[in-house]
Amino acid sequence: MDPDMKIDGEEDAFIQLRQVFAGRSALLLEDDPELSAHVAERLLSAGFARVEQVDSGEAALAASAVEPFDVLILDRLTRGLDGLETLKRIRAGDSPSYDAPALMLTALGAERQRVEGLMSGADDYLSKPVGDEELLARVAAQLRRAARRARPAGADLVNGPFRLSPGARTLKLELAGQSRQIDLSPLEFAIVGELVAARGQPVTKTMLWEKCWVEWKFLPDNFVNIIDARISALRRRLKEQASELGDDLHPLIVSARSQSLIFRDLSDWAE
Amino acid sequence: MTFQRWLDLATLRGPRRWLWRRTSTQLASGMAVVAALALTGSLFVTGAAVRMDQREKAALAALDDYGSIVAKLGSEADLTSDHVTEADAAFLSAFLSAFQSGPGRDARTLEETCRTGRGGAGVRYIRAAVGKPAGLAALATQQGERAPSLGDDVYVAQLKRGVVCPDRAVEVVMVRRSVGALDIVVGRVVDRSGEAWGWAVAAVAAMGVLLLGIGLAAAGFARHRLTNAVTQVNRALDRASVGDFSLRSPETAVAPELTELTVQVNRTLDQLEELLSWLRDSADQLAHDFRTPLARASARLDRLKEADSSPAARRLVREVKADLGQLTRAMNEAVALRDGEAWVFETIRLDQLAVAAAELYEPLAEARGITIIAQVEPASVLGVSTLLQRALTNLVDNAVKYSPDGGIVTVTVATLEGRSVLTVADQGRGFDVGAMNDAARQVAVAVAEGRESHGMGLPFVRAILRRHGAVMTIDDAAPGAVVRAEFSR
Repeated sequence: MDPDMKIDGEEDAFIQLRQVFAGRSALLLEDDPELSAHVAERLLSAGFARVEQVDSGEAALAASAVEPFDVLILDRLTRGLDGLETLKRIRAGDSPSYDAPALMLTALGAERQRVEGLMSGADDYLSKPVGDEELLARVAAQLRRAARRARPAGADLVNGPFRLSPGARTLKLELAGQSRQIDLSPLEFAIVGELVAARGQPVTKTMLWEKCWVEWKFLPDNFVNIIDARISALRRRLKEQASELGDDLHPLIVSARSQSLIFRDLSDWAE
Repeated sequence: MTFQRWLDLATLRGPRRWLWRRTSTQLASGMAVVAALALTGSLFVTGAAVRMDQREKAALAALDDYGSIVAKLGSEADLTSDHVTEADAAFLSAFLSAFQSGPGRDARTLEETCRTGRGGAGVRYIRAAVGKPAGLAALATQQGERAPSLGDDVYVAQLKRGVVCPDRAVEVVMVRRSVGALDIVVGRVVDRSGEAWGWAVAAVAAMGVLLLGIGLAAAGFARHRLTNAVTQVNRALDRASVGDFSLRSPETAVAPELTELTVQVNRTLDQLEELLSWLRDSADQLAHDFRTPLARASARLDRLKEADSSPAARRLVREVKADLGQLTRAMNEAVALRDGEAWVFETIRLDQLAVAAAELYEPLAEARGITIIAQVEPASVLGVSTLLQRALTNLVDNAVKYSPDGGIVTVTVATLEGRSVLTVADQGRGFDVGAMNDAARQVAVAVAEGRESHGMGLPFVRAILRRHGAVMTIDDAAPGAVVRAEFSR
């Protein structure tokens, strides 16, 4: 079975994101009109109900004061108030969007600037140019994270027969009343953790790199190949240790579009 | 102008050059030593003068004693050897024995002289033609040296320990004359250290010690102050050399001699900091100016892909995307080298980085049966972690890419004469070493051979290594190539 083959319903994990995006609103601060239009169009066609486009920090502050947004997408170098300062003021203020997830989308992509962005209250930091796949997956991740804030941190994640304990750093397979630990290296556990936490939504390889290869603070040229090689090994490992699930469910980690990975949603799985 | 020339070390010759090369401490210590030597010299000269004076005093006293003896002898002194009888001789001998420690000018007793070393004690000897001589026999046996400057028939003799005093050698000035039939020797022990002499010695010695002490203390203080100031300047420069411009050396507080230098150093640091922050800001602007059109182009390509789905259009879109990707990469590399991160240096364990890079590529290598061997020993370099990571991943990536299936890639880190050396070797077909070491040609060669990545990556690696004071060389490993980087710090 070709692990990269498209799987019905799973490939359009991106189409499924429509449900996540439905009825959502975004505030987009971007002073390049074409880019702004492009991003807005992508978000709307992916299911967003409303995208408020502004081209200056002051306008962003004014807009955020009026109504709540589900996500803030901010450029850094903008007319008037820059994106960082705008975000700081939104976070410090009492507008309805003060704790909305914020994504910096900027030309300043160095590690120092990334840290600056995250310190100023951004939840994610993306450097231009960004493809649609990356943008949508990142926005979905932010919405997911916002939804998860209500739940206690470090709670077990259950996906069908798999139980992942972030605290204990274990992945267990619970079958026929028996619980068995899956043997994974720390890196493999981190990868599975990220994918399982996405709950069937796509995670791009760039996102995975940032979360799991943390000591590498840049993207090597062929990080995609590095990840693919790891994922192949991980698929084999999971198959060996969870062979009871049946061949049609393996590989458990599947590809979506060209740059994303999904851990199959097994919530409907029955023994 | 002439002073400037005098100061110019290059034009100095001989002793002046030698003098110019001494440190202030050496000069100050030298002066103190010369002063002490001069004092010692003057001490000796004074000592000689004082001794001469003491001898004169002793000679006068001895002559006086002699006069008294002769006066006491009276008519007996007129006896000639022909007339002296045994009885006369016995009388004279007894007389002189009685006179031996008779009163005299400024006389000390012999016992006191021997005890204290001070002079003044009288010594005598008398011999008649017949009979037993009286007095100190050594005065007859030790002729001594005639000292005409002290008077007629005056001699100076050195009498060994045990001769006059049981545990002291003494100098004696004596008058040796014959009176009638009698040979008379009358002397005085010379005061070796006259009281004034003692004081002079003490004063001069104290002055010498004081001068030496002051000289050394002044030199020590000057040296400490200078060293302190230089240390502070050095600290600021050291921090600046690893990219931290927060430190300035105090301009006036430490050493007045260095104020001008410190001011200049600080001004240079200010300018350097300004230059670097300008470079960083312009790199930010550059990134923005490049990325915005890149992002627009990429967005338009996405739209084009949707609008025209013919195979030819799809292929073109794919190719243009790849071109954009390469542009983005080139820009990322340019910005990475100029960004603020690139000048804050820290200590980095090169061996750990190498092991991490080897592990990173392991699954990729395994898929093609390639083994990555990391042979490392602890080695630290000063550098920028992300840049070194980029260089290492680039090198290991290339090595894996160009290794034959089942080949071996070897990464080593070693320390050679205190320098860290990194090598990455593969067993690929290698490459034209001459061409690859020529930065301008290597891209052309690589492009011609259809392996852009190899050619594109290496100048970046070379730039990173150069930023770290490392020299990169590529050698033929037969088979394969070995890239070697030797770090200087």
